[in-house]
Amino acid sequence: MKEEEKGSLLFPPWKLMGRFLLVIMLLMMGSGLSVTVMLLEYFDSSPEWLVGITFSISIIFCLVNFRVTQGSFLCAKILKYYSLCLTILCVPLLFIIEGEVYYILLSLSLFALISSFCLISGETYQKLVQYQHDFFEDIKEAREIVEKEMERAHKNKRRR
Amino acid sequence: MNQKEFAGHIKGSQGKIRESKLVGELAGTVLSCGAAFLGWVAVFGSSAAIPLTGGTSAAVTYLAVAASTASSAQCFNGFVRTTLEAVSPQSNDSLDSQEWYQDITTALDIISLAGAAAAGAATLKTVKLLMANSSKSTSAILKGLSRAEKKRLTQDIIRSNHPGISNKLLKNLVKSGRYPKRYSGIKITQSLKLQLKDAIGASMSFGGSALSGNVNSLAVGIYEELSQ
Repeated sequence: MKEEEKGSLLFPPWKLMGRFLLVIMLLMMGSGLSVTVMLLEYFDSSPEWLVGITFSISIIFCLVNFRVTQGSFLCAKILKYYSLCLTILCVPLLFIIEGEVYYILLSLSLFALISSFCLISGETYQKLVQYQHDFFEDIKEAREIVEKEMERAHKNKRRR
Repeated sequence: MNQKEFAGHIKGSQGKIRESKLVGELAGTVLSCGAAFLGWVAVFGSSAAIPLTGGTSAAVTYLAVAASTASSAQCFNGFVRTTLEAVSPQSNDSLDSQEWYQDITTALDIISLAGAAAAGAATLKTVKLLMANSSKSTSAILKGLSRAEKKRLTQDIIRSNHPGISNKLLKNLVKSGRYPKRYSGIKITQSLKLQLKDAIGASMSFGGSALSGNVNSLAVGIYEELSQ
């Protein structure tokens, strides 16, 4: 591992973790803005529906991200395609919406979504998922070894 | 001032109120997202601290996840409110007048604060554990521990992870490299720093809510019964 990718003892390498945090921030911004504009423009949703849907998305989003922090490649893929889907759904809005404010908001969300898609596809993000995956596998392995050792010790005690 | 001028003045001041509301929403969003950012750092750290804390940080991890989910939901909500404030300000007014919306945002604030309280409790527990293993003062402990004290602390952590473990087995586990002989000072200090970050994150989240969310509409009433 390169010098800059060496982590502290408690956290994953800062470069890798920074990439994850950047992606999460970009996705939250992209999702928040694009979902609001989409719901307003496509469905003319009431504010109540808007808040309900975004809260539901945020909870699922956090659960998926939590699984990524535990080293799930599947969840990383889900996030990647989630950002791609939102981007595709947002593009037609560029031809529908009217007003400067909408354009600014939509451009910001598209920038955030495309950036996060590129970052998730990148090597650094995948390295983080691999790092976390290995880390939790090691903990699991160590626990199993210790449990076996404990069992053996208890059996020896009983024999005596 | 005639009627028309007065109407114009009122309209102008309304515009300024909305403008400052938009700035307030933006500031609240930045604070909530900052809190979510710190929350996710805490999620990473608390997962990694599982071997260090002998399993106790697994519970803290779930609390950190709940707190960061609450902060993230507030961050999402912040973006929704900012967008609504920019394109349809009356929608925000309508939301603010709904009781269920106020209840949800209050619940999110409480979850964020519970995360902070859990982080604070975990910090206290860690400091207590460190104090039990050392004759030093709290400030001296936070600065660092001696090698012998670190060794004792490590043994205590392993013991709390496996109650009833014998000294012989403990030595065997350390000898075989399955458990560390001693945790480094950096690792211990980082664990404390992580919990502090979590607490700061939740305070930021609460600050965000106090600025533009629901906490700013909370009031404390003090009343006195007067004898007639």
